[in-house]
Amino acid sequence: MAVEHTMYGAGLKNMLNGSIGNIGSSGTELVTLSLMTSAAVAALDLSTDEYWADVLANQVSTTYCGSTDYSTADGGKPLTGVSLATTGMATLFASSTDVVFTTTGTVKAWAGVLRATSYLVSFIDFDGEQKSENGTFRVNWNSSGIIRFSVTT
Amino acid sequence: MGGKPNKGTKADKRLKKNHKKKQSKSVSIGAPTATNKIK
Repeated sequence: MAVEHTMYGAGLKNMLNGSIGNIGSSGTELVTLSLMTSAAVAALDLSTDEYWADVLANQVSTTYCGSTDYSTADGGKPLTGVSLATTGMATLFASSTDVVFTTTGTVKAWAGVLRATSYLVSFIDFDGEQKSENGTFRVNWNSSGIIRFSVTT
Repeated sequence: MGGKPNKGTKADKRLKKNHKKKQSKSVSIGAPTATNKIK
């Protein structure tokens, strides 16, 4: 298996009904990347999980990360350099900036959750344990964007 | 000839220990695009 990235079923609904605000560069809705344990992968239910509270218990903690390397209280790191653009029939949510949790620390995680405040957007399965030791823990975004919606006729 | 092998001076051992401590590992996870088709 490779790293996989999938939207939560309710993610689109909450974008369309306004629960999630504008996630584009001019918007005010911050999208946050949270790191998760293997338990989150085992318990993943894209069709019923909708809120951060549904999966919060499986966020990584100081058991897996140095206390200054990942803030459980903050629930991860907000994305920066984001953009939202439509080209033809495709709309792309992207970021020009990787998320770097630490450059000198120890972080261990099995998955990432993208969320807009309390609403779950998507789940990234890291394909097993990923770990930094006295080094950099980075999640880098695909050049094709983070999330892509395409309308087919 | 035939004596004990030289295990290094104290300074050598300290250097080796420090080298061990500084071992590091970085990771970069490439997140694929989540693609969604609406029809």
